Amino acid sequence: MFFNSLTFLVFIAIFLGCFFATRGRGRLWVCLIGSYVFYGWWDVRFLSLIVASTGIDYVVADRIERAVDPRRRKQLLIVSLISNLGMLFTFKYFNFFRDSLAELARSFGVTLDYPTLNIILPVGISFYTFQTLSYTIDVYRGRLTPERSLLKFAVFVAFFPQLVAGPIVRARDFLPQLSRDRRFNWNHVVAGSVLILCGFFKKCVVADSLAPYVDSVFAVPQLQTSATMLLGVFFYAFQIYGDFSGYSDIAIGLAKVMGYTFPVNFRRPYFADSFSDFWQRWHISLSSWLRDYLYIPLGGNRRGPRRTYINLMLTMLIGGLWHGAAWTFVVWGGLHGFYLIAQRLVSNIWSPPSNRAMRWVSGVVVFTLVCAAWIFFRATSFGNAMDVYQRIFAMDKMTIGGIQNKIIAGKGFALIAVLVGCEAMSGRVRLQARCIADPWFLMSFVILVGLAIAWLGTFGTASFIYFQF
Amino acid sequence: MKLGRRPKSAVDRIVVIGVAIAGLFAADRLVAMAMGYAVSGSDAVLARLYTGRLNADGMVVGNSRAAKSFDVAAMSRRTGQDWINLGVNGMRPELTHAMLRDYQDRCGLPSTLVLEVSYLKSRWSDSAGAEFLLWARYGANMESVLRHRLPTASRAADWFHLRRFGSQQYFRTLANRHGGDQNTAARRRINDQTLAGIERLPIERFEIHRQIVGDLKSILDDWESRGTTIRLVLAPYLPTFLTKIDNLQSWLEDVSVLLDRPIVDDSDAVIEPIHYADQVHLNRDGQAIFTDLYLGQISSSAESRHNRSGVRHLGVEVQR
Repeated sequence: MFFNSLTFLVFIAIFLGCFFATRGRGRLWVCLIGSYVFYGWWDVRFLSLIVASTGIDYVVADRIERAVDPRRRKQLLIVSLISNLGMLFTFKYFNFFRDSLAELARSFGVTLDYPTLNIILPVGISFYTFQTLSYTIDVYRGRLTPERSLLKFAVFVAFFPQLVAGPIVRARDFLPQLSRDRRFNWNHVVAGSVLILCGFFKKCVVADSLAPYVDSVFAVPQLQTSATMLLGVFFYAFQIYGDFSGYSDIAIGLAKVMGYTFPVNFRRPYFADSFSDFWQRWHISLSSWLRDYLYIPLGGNRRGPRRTYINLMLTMLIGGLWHGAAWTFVVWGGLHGFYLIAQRLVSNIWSPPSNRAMRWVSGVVVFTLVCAAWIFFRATSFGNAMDVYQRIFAMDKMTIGGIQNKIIAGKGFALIAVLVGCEAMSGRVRLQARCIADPWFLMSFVILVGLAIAWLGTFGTASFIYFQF
Repeated sequence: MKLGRRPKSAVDRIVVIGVAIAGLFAADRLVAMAMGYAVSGSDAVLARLYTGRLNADGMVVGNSRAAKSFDVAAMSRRTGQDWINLGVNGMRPELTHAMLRDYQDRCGLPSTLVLEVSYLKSRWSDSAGAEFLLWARYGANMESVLRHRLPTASRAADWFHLRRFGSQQYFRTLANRHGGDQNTAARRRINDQTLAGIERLPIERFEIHRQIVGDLKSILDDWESRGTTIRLVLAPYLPTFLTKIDNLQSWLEDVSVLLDRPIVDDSDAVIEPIHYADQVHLNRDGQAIFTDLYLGQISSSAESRHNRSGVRHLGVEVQR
């Protein structure tokens, strides 16, 4: 079930009716059943994975808490890691590693004949796996008391707004919220609805309007002019931002309507003036997860510069692989690892003046290099990515006249300008607070965004990019 | 409730929601009306067709290849008849046939119809169909096709009238409000990198959609019986790209048999890459050459070059 479908509209109306009509355990059951219906709508078979993951981590965390022997605690943690990552590996990475190994063996003249698993990737498996892993690890580290209520824990794992594409919510943030009944609160409903509308605008209007242009240029890059190809990459940067941050806004907004607070997942990432700044603004729930559960345990920056660089690169490579079972994603992560290392190296020998002009220049450099990395993220293969780079650096027809499909390109530019303008203003105008305080402002906002969505929005046909991860 | 103050009671909140929803629907109708007014006054060819302001002796129909292969201004000058080009980018067969029927309903019949047949290989696409929601408002046949193919989008357009105006079709109609959409061939020439890229394209097969071809046949039979001259043609492809089409000849022969009409195969009529903008579209120079060739061909009516299946070969090679 997609957020941008009519089915979801009916679902959420029924769900919210039941949610606000119930209290206590009844409400938790509504959340759980609603979440399972939401997920099962896509493929009911894969609900078993969520149920298994829930059961394993509930039991393991409880045993870890009870175990006194550190070795026993570690063994239990390993059970959780193996079961969660095992599921992820089987469903997401088995065929990828099998093919890569077979390819490597072939280059040495050896033929490997391992079976190929004929399975599809369960939607959202990377998200809920990381979510449950963080729970068990936090319990192991003694930072979290295990949840006694299986029902509450099951809701934490499967809660539908963030189940399939994040944000990755930490147990210590969300479980305490499930313990308190949320009454219907007008302010929450308004604040949540404003976020949901913003999310739909980003997804259905901006991202889905850019998608056809991006799809067409990446499908056959060798036939594009350099100007068109460059524009395609530029559009993709905003397509994926609109798509993913739009989903996050809708998820956070839905939770807000119910009275729950989810962490912010995007904070104007293309306004970043350094790569570390970018990763503090882009997919914050994942980057903070990687920082807390991978980078810091690896030693972070506490073991000297060389080890820091290795840790950074490892974290970004794994972060890249998390996004998809393909070497293009690994290269994308590697590029970002390289950017972060290069930034540290440069800052060691030269600290740029911290004025506005310099920040602008840095921002443009960061954005350009981030776009260069997106090519690997979007490309279907290495060859495809290389074709894109080749077309761009051919530098033929780098003029406005060289841009193909000018009407779609113009519409894309206009929408990006609106999005960037709104983002730039969002630091000054406290949109949700204004909507809560002033009904005229709220009505104008609803009408304006509603008109934009009604006019330019795409519904039902386009999935969210991050569903595949 | 005092305006500008935070709503406190349930009634206040219901009023706010009600006014917001009512305001949204009212604004939707108002803006859609203004946009519809702009469409009605536009001289873009489809706007003229769907508002019954198009009257031509001859018309060219098809996808972007039809739009870019024929210079109708030159055709009008040379033949002394009024020609229009109804080639539309990404046109799908179902939409083309609905458009032909709407043309018949709104503007009568032309004396000559030139149909560039490569659009017949295309499959239905929801996004291509959604482009034509704008015209469903004006043409019963287009509306019928879209209600059948895109029921949800059509219903959404009933609720929110603005949805019809979000397509490229609308923006093109605005951009061409003073006309000027009758010659969309690019001036650029295909470059060496693109030529090299074409070499690496996979082989493709043209599909036959029998029901759709049958539907076209019924339209053509009807129009022909009412006095319209029907000419079917396959416009030029870049020769390098032609080698990437696995079954062009057999596809053409099958379509010709199903339509029970000859098709002029001009796929190799223009051989120089400098006359192409890309692998499937002629540029302005190529268009001028091909139009010239085509007019010469139809005036001399080279019927003698039929082959057994009914596919005729123009067989003209253009030298630089």
